[in-house]
Amino acid sequence: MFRFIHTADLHLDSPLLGLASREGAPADELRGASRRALDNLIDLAKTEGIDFVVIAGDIYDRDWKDYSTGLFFRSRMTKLQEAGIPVFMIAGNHDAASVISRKLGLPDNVKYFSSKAAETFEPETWPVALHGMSFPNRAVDENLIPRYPAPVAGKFNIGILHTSLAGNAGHDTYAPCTVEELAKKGYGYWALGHIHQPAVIRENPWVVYPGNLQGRHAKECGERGCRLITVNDDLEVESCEWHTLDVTRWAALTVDVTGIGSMDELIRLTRANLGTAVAEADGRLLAARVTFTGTTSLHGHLCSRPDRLDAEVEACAQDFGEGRVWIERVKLETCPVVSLQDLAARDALTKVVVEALDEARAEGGDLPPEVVAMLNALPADMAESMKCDWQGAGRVALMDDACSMILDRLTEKGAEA
Amino acid sequence: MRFNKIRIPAYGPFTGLEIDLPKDGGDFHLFHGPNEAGKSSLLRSLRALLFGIHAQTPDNFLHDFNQMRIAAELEKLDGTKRLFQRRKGNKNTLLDDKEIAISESELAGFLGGVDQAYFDSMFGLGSAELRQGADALLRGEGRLGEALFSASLGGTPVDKVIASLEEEADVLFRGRASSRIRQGRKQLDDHLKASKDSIIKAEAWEEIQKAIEQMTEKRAKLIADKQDLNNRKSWLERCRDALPVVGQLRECQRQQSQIPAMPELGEQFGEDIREARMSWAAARDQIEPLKNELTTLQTKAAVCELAPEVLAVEAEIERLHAGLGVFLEQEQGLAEKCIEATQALVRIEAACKELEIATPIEELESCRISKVKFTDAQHKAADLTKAKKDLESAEQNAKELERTIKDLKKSRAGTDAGDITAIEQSIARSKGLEEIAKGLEARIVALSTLRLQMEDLRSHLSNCPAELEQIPSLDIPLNTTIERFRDELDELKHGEEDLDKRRSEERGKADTAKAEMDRLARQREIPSLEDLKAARSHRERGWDLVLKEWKGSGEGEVYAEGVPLEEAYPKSVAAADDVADHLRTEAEAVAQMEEKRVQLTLAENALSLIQAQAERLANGRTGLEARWIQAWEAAGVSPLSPREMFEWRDRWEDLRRAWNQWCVDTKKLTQDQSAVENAVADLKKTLVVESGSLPDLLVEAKRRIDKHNKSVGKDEALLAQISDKEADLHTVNEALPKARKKSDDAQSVWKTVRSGLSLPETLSPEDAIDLLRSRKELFVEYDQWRALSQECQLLESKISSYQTAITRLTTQLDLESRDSETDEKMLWKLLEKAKSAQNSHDELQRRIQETDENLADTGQRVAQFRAAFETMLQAASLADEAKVDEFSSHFEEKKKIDDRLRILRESLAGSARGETIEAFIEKVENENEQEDSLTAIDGKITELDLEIESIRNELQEFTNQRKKMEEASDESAREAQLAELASSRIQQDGERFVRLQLAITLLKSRIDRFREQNQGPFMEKASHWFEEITGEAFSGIITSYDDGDQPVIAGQRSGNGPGRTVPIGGMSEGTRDQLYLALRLAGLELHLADHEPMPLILDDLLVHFDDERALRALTALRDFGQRSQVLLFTHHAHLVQLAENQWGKTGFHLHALSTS
Repeated sequence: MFRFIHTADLHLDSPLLGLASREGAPADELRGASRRALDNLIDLAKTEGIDFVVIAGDIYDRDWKDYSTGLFFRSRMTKLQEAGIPVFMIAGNHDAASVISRKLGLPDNVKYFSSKAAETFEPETWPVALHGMSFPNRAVDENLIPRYPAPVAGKFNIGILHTSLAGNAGHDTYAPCTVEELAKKGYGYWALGHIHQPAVIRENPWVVYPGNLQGRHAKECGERGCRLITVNDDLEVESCEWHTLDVTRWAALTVDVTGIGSMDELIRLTRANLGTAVAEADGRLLAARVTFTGTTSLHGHLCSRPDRLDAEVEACAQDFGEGRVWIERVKLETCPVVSLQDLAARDALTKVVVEALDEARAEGGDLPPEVVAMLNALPADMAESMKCDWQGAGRVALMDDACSMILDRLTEKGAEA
Repeated sequence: MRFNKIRIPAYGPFTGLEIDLPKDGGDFHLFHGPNEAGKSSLLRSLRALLFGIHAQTPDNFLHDFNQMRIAAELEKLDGTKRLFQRRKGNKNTLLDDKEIAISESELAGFLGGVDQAYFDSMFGLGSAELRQGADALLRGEGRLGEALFSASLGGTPVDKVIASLEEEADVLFRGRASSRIRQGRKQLDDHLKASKDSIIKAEAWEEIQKAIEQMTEKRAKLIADKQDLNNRKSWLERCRDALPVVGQLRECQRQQSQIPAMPELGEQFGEDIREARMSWAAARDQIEPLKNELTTLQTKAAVCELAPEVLAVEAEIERLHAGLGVFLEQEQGLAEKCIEATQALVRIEAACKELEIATPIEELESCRISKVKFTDAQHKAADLTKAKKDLESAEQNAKELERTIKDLKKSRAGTDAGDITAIEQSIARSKGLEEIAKGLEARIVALSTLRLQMEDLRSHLSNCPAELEQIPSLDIPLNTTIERFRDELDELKHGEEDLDKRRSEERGKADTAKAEMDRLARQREIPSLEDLKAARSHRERGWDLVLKEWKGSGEGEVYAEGVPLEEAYPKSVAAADDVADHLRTEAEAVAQMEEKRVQLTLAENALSLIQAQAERLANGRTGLEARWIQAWEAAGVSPLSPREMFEWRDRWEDLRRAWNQWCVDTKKLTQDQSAVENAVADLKKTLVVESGSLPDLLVEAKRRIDKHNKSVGKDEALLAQISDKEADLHTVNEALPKARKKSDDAQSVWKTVRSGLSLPETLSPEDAIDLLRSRKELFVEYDQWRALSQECQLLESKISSYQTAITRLTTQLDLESRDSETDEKMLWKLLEKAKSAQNSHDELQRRIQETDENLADTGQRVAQFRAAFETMLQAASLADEAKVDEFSSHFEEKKKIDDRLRILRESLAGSARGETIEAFIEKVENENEQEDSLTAIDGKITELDLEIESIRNELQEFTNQRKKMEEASDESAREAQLAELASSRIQQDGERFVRLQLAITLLKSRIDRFREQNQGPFMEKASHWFEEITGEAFSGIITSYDDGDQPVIAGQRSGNGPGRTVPIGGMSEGTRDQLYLALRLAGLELHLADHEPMPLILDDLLVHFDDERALRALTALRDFGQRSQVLLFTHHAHLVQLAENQWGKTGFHLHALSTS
């Protein structure tokens, strides 16, 4: 019997995206999240006394200018070496041979699969054969399966592959292949990488994505970790256990406030939603995106003071303890309970404004000078992107947002006080 | 809308206030009342009726919150009338005339879309607001736009919306000033710089690694050198330390050889023989003093005074001495007890007399009542009392119960509750539907809005199917695919740009080279090397022909057409020389030409390569674009650029999500609508009503159930009470005979007890027990007297016994007796003296015996010491005692030298470290230059130490650096993360700012447009009102222009003289107030043009107007009252007077409010 860990997509030192800095936010909790997740993996390997580790690509996020990223990985591989644990790894699209320009000697326990041809390692200690091939370039549109060797008889065969599978055929160049092809290869376990959402694609033979070690933005919600596989003496997978390793948990919470008429109720509902997510985060820092949906009489109030809503949600987050929850963004997708006809009937100017909203959506012209001045203060690429929005298809969306903003505030009682 | 009637049952100071507001003869109403009459409360109540009572209203000083009611009958322009009531609360506060809660929407129909804020700002005006408006006109220097906005539109929410948008935008970004975006940008730059600065470079790592290896090696060598030096130093130090010891050893050996020979004796012999001689002498000196001491002791013992007869009765005297205190206390106690006994006897005799007991004291015991008998009598008496009380209580209870049952039966009124099962079943069937019904309308609106939004979104989504239903199923490529295409296209674009740049550069080079060559060619004719080669070749051929000619074998070959060989050949030689000369003289130009030619060739080659690369890139782009279009084929979409398609895809995602949500919500809505309709039909049938919404029907159904339940509940409660009381009465009646028998039995038993104790029949049980209790108390006193008498007898006996013992001893010792206490003290003193004399005598006898024994021991020791000393003299071969001192001296000296030699050898053995002492001494004595060598070695070691320390520090430093690197600080990544945080923040803020500014710009443009459209009518109306209010002073308002060509308003004086135009700044405060009032009335007129009228409520508006202007203003307001209701509140009686003087009492509606 032997046991091994299957992990992938470490993306070391990749920053967590989308989190805006704010006073008192737990920035230190966030720093080095990808490193601490790897530390958790090393601890797990040592605690469980596993026999070897398989890494299916994307150890690094991109070519590292900072040597410390490579050194960090090297130091953790050294820890595994000290514990007598070998590592078998391939390069993925993010750390392909052509992408990583700097090389750092790794300890002897690390076996790195070639990017020129598929290779096989057969450690003497266990009846296992590991087949793999690193990405030579960032984009590999070739199906690599035919290049993988035939299974070694009498051994448990593990294929290590960085691929987007065939689910995205025609849209991807990441070693496309089908699950059927993998199954027909005759291996006992396919240790895949590239897709960040953990998934067991099939069993017998096993085709598994362990997902990334640490979610990096609001679209990578939920638990992140690795798989610990036990292979019995009959060379069959006895178990394929999930182990959670992330240190910061992402959650996208949708709070439906339909029919809710007071901020107290809204806050209570938000707190309940956050509470569930905090409980699921199990002590980790929770980075949460909170989206309010539904039709509510609070719509105008919420829209007119997004900072106030932010503060309320932030306060809810603080109820769970200092630094336990970081609100990534508060999104408002609620609808007002209002009749435009009634609104227009109130006074002549409001009528003019309301009636002109549709017309305004199609209006052209230059950006207001205040906006131009602001864009000059932004980083060039960011400013350029915003200008592109205005000059392209994004213009209508921007005017839509501006019109919604006006409508929201017109319908908000607070604006009239 | 107007108020027809105001009814205030309870609010503020009002209780049952009723005011009718007729509109005949105009709708202008003047409310007059002194201070405290309730004008402000009335104003608040009108506002509260329309828009709700404020949660913290101060108007609860007379009426509780739950009693507050305000009512009014309102009438719309179309004649619709309705009475509304308002109560205080959180919901359902609007009531109809039957006190039934109604929806706010029913009142909203009368308000015409006007909410509280707009009502307050547009239809409410006080003197303070008037002055503020006038001041604002002055501040704005009469700018028409602002005046129009302030007076006509100030109450609209648009200006507040702009203000709030600008406030939020300012926080984000404010020109050059500090703002969140600028701060965020600074943070971003700082973090990016810090991230870059924190990067660990590969070269640094390798350098450190190399340095550490070199230093480690160097350090090892230095340590080895130092070890060698330390070994040498250690040997020299051993030599240096051993040399003095060796010298001392040699000296000791010399001294040893000079001492005379003596027999082998023990080490202690010298000391022993001296000690033996001293001991013998000391023992001899002790004999005489011991003999003298013995004689002295014997003399003292002979004179001691002993008293054995007193010591014989020592125990008896000590016992009496110990008992003296007790004896004296007993004498005192006997006297006290005798007095107590006498007093007790007197009390007993008095009690006997009181209780009529004639028995003498000696026989009183026969009258004692036992505790058993007394307790028995107590119980029997108590039983009798209780039995009687129980009987009385039961009889009373029975009567009470009979009366209660009768009352309950009388008050139970039969109630006919009816059957409500059907209603309950209907309510059960509509469970949960009430909330759904309330929310249906909002959901329909929301779904409709969502559908419109989706349609709108779809219309902006180019190449999208027309039907929304088809959109979610589109097979759209993933973002990662689009991203990849974008990256590849970018890469191609960069490649192409790069090639274009290079092509342009190479073309430039080629053109430059060509131009330079042309220039050189134009300057002069420059032969090339090829020209020289050709000339020389021609010359060589000529020479060959010459040779052939000369040999005779060259016939037939033509060298130069038309020129004989003998002429042509020299010419060719000259021509070749010319070319060569020319090349030499124009060497510089030739070289330049050659260089340019090479440059031209290189540039042309490079251009060829570039062209080939460009073709490859073009092929790549074609392929990529084909793949890009192919990627979208499945979706049936002709894609724009990848960047645009990112945006497209996000919008498509939004649309897809919205569609899915819409489908789910629509389905749920349909189900809910159906369920609500079924429930309404069910309830109508059950309640037998014609109409009503589900909430209303449910309210009615619950009301009926409540009513039924209350009726049934009351009847059931009465029945239960009657049943309980009848059961109680039955129990009481059953218990009555038993109680009577128990009372009779107790009476009989008591009779027996009373006769047994010889108690009079006339005594009640309670009195009889009291008598018995008094007798018991007498016997307590009697028992105490008996105990005191016995104690006195005992004390007398003890005192007598002590006195007898004292007398017996004084007689025995032949002493004179006085009283017992004195005799005892005398006996005790005699005993102490006898004991002291006996103790002194015994001590002297002990010391005599001890001294005698010491004397005998000393004689024996003198003999022993003498024998030992003589034995030692023989062993040392000494003839007599006189030689002992000399012998001892030599013996001790030899012993010291031996010890010294041993110590020195031991000392050297340590330094020899395993070698023999002799071999070591020989090496040491042969070692030279110790001091010089040691100094030199110390110097070298110090130098090495410094060097090692220096290297160690450096090594440590490098090791630390390496360790830091190995720990792989995440500083750079951390800063990158912080930069990302800052970037996200400014991205969010920037996006928000753009939208805010677009919204602001849009609103401002609409306001400008509105002003342009309404300026004319507004000015015309305002001018009319201003003329009316100011009378002859001003004929109206005109539009003028200020220095900045901005339109401003100004007053126009009546008449034709100069200075007719009066700017705002030139007007008095009062006139400005009137101007603002005119503008407001104009604004209201504009509103009235296409809105339901609203009452204009004015609070003490004319306080700053003089009488003439006040009357004109009243007239203007009365005129305005022809179109819309005007309510003017004032506490100034002169305004009322002015109005009455002008129009009489019937020309307007006066409502007097009084403080009562």
